[in-house]
Amino acid sequence: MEANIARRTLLLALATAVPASSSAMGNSSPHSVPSVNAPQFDAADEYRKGVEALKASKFSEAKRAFAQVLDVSPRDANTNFLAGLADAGLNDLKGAQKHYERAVRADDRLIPAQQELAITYAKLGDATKAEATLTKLRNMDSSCAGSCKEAEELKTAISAVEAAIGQPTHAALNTTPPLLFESAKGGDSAYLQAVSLINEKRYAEAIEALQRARATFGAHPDVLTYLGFANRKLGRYDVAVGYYHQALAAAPNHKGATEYYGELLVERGDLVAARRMLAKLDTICTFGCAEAEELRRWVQAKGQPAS
Amino acid sequence: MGTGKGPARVLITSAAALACAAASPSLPSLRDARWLQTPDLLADLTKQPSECRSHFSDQNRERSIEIGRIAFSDPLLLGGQAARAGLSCSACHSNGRTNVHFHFPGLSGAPGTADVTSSIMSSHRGDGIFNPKAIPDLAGDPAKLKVSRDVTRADLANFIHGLITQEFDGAEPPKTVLDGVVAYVRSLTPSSCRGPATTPITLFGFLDDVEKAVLLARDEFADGDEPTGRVLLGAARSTLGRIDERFEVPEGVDARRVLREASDELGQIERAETVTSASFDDWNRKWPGRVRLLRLSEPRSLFSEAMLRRELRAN
Repeated sequence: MEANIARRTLLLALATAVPASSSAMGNSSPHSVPSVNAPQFDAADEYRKGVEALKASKFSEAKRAFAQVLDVSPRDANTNFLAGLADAGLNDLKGAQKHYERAVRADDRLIPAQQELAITYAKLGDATKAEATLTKLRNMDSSCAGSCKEAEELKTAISAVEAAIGQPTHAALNTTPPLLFESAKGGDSAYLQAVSLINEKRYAEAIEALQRARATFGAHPDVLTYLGFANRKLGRYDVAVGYYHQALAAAPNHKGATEYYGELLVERGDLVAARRMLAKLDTICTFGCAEAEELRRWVQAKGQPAS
Repeated sequence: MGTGKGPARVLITSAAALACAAASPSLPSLRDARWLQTPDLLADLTKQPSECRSHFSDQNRERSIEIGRIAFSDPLLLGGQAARAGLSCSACHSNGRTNVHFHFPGLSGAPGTADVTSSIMSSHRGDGIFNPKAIPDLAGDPAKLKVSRDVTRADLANFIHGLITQEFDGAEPPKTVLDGVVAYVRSLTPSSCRGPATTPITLFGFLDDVEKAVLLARDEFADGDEPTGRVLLGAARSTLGRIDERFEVPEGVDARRVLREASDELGQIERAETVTSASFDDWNRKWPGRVRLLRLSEPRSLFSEAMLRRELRAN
């Protein structure tokens, strides 16, 4: 009986990979009882299904999958962008416009979304908005001055938008996810890189790697939790809280998100709320878990434990 | 992640299920199966290398070795990334030996290797070089061991302490526990390797570990060593969790209920402000009945080779 466990477990590694420096993230028990508020689907799984459906030009299927993801993570830039591609595939330009607008509102550096938004405006006859979006792209290109890693992507986007504005009726709408969104291997690699970077306390670089992983895995609670962790370590507490909330919306019993959120609460001096997080972990972790033990140490120390 | 059967494993099932659609059968819900790259998963889940442990007439030494042996299989000893991944010392050193099929993504090269200076596991020892090394057999040729086990020297204790607190970023272990792990590793010798090369993995063995851990915990609390008592209770609960994973089949509902009750009760003791020998009375009274029920259910669990085969086929 052959069992190539390695491929299957790669993603378990990701699931449980942790910033060992000051505790870690990880998934809650595979067997825990779902919370009554828990979504009855796996947001990350739906996201991958949506990407696969898009690749196969099954746009209705993709639209359904992304709608599920957006139920728990409505402001996720990548998911909104991909939902826009699905709308475009269904010739629903208004729907596409709405999703692209949400995507760039959540992340104005998401160049493919800016590109498709501008082209969609052009197709819909809204030349003013198309030009405005093109100007944003040109401004990004000017700032980049050909030296940033998005330089090529920006040039391509600007050309495509200029062509669409010039001949709106002939402009082609993209319905295929960019490579970054397709490659599970690339997502794995980015995630593992992020784990290492976090342990090396290189949080800004870790966030970049996590954003790449996020393109592959969507509103994945592990990725969101790490985004929360890295932002917290950079002192961006409100941003971190936002990510923890998103992670817990996607997976209400996520052990890593619960632990880290609890640590953040300790850092903010809210021990009452931190103890609530700890009580939740003690309930989730029927057979004990590192996340509960680490948060317990934080609560007892009223801050980061000495060792 | 606990959102029901679907999202239960975060990146495990979500992306893995897609990325590995063509993967061969596996049982990712079993901790014992997670970190393997093996040609024969069934064998790896039913047999383990035989332990090569020396025994001593000195009861204190035996007791210390036993504490160490229990901690050796407890992920919480390592803390950090390893604990969250369910890795204990015994994940790499099965029964104090080696694990030729161990494989952790990003950490292992070939199966049976690990890069102990990877930033994936450690915030202290990452060297930026991927250089996995073969996992040594702790009961192997002493001449090939990189750390001296000379009882007059502290090399082994320093090494294990560094491994726990730096290589794996774990919390400072209680002295009794660290001493125990050192004593356990010292007790592993080639001369104690007698009998068959492998031994079966059984429910009995796991239950015995739980019982010993609880008894030792009670004694440690009685002796005033609460930190060690709590480590041992945590280890007992972790082993109950390993048993629970083997009952995650439709026939295992009653067994799992019993296991959860047993763990909940130990958790209450573990978290209590004051623990005395009497704190264990209720648990000890219930344990024999729980053991009976579990043993009766064993043939319908993933301790059974036939059941494992069935599940592997189904997956």
